[in-house]
Amino acid sequence: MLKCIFNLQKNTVISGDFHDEKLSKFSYWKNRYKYRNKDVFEWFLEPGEIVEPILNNIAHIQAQHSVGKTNSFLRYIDIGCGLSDLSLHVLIHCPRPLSAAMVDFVSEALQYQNKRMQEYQQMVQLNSESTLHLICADVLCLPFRAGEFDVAIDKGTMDALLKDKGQGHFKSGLLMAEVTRLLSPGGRYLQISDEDPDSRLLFLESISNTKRAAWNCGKRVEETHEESMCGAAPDFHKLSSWNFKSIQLKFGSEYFLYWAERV
Amino acid sequence: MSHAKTLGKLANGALKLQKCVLPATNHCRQASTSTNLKDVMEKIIPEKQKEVIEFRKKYGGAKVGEVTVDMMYGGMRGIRGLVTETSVLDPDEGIRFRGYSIPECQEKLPRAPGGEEPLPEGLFWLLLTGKIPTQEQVAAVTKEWNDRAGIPNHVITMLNNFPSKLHPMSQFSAAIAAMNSESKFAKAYAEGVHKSKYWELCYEDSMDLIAKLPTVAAIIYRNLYREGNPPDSIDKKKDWSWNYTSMLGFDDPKFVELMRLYLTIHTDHEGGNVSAHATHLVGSALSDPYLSFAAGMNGLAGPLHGLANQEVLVWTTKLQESLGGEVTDDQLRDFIWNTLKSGQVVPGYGHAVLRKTDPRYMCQREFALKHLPNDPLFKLVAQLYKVVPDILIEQGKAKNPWPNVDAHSGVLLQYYGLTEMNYYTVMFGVSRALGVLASLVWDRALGLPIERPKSFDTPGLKKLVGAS
Repeated sequence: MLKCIFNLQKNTVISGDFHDEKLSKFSYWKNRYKYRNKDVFEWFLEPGEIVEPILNNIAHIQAQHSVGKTNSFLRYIDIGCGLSDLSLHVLIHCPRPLSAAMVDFVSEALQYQNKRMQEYQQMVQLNSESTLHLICADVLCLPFRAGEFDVAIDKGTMDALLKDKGQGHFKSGLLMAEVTRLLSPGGRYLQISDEDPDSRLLFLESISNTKRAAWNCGKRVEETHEESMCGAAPDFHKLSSWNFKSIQLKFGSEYFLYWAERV
Repeated sequence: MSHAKTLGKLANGALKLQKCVLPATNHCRQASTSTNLKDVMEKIIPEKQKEVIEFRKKYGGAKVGEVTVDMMYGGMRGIRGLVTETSVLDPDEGIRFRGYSIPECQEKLPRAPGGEEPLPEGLFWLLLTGKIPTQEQVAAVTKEWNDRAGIPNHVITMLNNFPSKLHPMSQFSAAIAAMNSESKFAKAYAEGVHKSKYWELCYEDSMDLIAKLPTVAAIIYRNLYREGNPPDSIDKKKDWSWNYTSMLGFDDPKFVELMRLYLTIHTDHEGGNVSAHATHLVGSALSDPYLSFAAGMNGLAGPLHGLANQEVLVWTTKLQESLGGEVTDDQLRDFIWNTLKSGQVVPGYGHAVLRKTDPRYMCQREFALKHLPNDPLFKLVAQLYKVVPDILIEQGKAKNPWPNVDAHSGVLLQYYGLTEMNYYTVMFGVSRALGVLASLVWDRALGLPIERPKSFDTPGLKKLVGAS
């Protein structure tokens, strides 16, 4: 009797449990963005609900940067932008000009964003000095030099990576290292997720400030993955401890903005 | 036994050695198989005390996190402030009782003779000792609880005098507090007992209280919903859950099995939730276990804590009515999608911590598949399980679109005839007693002091952070 029950449990792999693993696959998003790009796909919440906390963070960073800097542009990157209108909203509402980059590994998503931006520019006056670059790249191996950005936004990207049951934790660690590498001193990593701080904070802490594993990105290997013989890797940036802000939506759901600062 | 204790008082250092050498006692050799729970605890506690002392000596000053202004206004969300040994929520596997997940508990914990579901007596042994009990040890707990089940007459009178409009949880909480006339802890404290004995007295009160809860809960049920016919008396041949269902007035053996499962899976959920925290907090002032647990039940009565399974049942029954019968998956999908579009949520779905379906949901689902696969309400619940997570994922509404424990419990209870939804939280409370009281015994065993975090007023807080 005992064995029967045990087997039943093991065999009852409810397909529902693994339906979401597809969200970690390139093929899923490629298919989605290519064929179903009519409906905007927003993870968790509408951009309007999250823009204000993001702008607050940006204002904070800007205040710290304004001393002694000739260039008043804040450098912004959206990591895994997909079809989200979030960065569009940020560009519309940010009072100071931004030098923005949006990254996704599916080119159709970027084509969509391009179209959206052009539509909006006809309707709304974006800050005319802001610039936008759309880059097709793998977020785990970004084609930028260290310290090139002041704020990095991740809305659902690490969540998508975590859907990979086998590699999710490892890949999230790589993402954390990449974003940390890209941030200038005082720059912030902003992560939007619906996962509770009780588990997410512990997880973020566990993958922050660790030595990165070598990852073959071709000719960039020497530049960014070199580890000196005498100890820590060069340019080993560190993040402050992680904080969070709860965002309560109208209909009871709750989301969180996690952030940490490059020290 | 008393011989060893006397020696213990005389020679603390030689205590363990003496106990082992004495031929008259069997403690040392049988510690791991002893069916006396208190004796087992007496062995374990000194080891654990030492472990904690050593840990704090080395790491007592280590920082574990930061506190922000938002956290202080935000219900202490994210503040790491408690140590609770009995259970920890693993985001990937669900709740772990002393390290064991629900599926592991289902596999390893002893069952009633002829039954398939684990016995809550066994889980209580596990929560208290950290060890999986044997069948004999579980039977010993059953016997203890049956022996301790009598409730004082003044409580019966009180319950029988409550008006029917008094909510079952209020009746439950009041009765628990009133039972502290029996508290051995309170009596001993008043007589000046030494603090090294607190855990034993807490243990005695906890065992007494747990034993009495089914009778109290049954009287409340029968007063409210069965014309006040008093419940049967305790049958020494039945286990704790079985006595409870009999006293409620149900005799379906499958319902007994359901009750065993239900009372096992709701026992504990870390230490920060309101019922667990309140029990711990009030207990830290050395209020006796009855008063402490009553405080926990007052918290459980709050709509934000103990009411979720009711909400799910109401929603699901309404859905069943709106659909007017069985529908195809596609029809259900459309219905759900419209619900989400109009800004409403699907109750019971979405979990902020768990990255897969709550195992407490899965075991209830397996129970239903085994025993009531054709019940219309269950079929709807099963269909929802098939359809809802995908919609939530596709529409990006939730990263973790899986159902939690409350999405299933109401359906099973309804099937066996326990349809009075206002009463569900009382059953939840009966189960939760096992977790919070096991923790309370350890609070006293480890000598945890009174709990009192520092509070600020807003001007003081502003000053602290340099705001104008």
